[in-house]
Amino acid sequence: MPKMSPQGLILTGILFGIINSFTAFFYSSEWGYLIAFTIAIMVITFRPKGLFGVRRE
Amino acid sequence: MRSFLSLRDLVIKNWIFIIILLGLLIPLITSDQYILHILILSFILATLGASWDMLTGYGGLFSFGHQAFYAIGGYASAIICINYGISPWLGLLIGGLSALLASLVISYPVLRLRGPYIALVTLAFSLVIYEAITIFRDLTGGPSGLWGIPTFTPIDLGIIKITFEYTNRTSYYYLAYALLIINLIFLKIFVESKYGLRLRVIKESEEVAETLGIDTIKYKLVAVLISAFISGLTGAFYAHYIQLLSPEVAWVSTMLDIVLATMLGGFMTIYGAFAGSLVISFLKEYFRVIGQLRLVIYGLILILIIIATPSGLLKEMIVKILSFKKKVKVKNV
Repeated sequence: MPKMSPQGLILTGILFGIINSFTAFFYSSEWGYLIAFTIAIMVITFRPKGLFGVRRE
Repeated sequence: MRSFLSLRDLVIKNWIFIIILLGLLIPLITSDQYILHILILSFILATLGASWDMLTGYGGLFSFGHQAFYAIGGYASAIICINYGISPWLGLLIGGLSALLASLVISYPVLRLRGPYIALVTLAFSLVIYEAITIFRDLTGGPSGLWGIPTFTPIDLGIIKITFEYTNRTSYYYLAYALLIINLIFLKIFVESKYGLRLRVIKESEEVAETLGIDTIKYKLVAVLISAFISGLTGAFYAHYIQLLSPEVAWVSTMLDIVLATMLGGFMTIYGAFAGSLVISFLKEYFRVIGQLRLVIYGLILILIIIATPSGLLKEMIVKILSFKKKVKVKNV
């Protein structure tokens, strides 16, 4: 399992909240989860250690 | 005594044919539409469970997104049949193929990842599908559901005309049963073939598989595609049987049913899902009176099964019964 990073957790929490409410404000409230889950799939696929995870050598 | 023994041997050796025969006889014994309906639903669950068992039990790809393939198959077939007037028989194939295409998309991350990450990605994928179904309501009907899905057109065989009507579900029953048996036999053959053996090697250790010269990506992709195709086919059948689809089909509860049925029947058995889904379907109907509490009972049953018998309740029971009989036979001789 990757190393936990509390700072990253806080940052992404805020990031997801902002994305969720911005899509609700500018587009439609229904799209929030769709976009959040799509981002989650993208992150797991292309950066399995997480957005702020450190690649262990 | 001698003839009795040989009869028992016959039963043990050909149990699969006897079960197939029993299933064929049920509509002749009872014409209770309610029981037939529950049996049809349990066959659908069994087909899903078997395809999931092939992918997860043998391939080690822990998919939590099978309800997405199921829903995609159902919705694709339903939408195309409503809008373009295509025969629902062709819709079955369309459902399977659209689920196959969706699985090609999701297989990109799935084949790159391992272990719990696969479960995460497939779960997220199924939630994306669920949200998409609720959002695109012009196409899918949204949360209020998709109405007016055509049912199977009658087949004229000259002598007999097979019609599909709500008042008499016998023809639906045989169709669901045929789908189940064909898929079970196909999956069993697939799993026992060299493909299945290589999948098992990949599950045990990908490094070992690669050292042996097995193209891990290819075999895993084949497993994902077959599993998704069968799920889509089943979803299409469900859509044309119920003739009403709601986003709930793509919700996690469908997946829980699949996992519970397969766990109950036994991992890595293929047939186990059939036995498990029969138990689950009838339990579900029995506990319907207590409403939401039945989910608690579900969870408890699942926990108990996993703790007590990791290889599946029914599998262990069958093994015990068979070995007991064998011991008795040895003593007699």
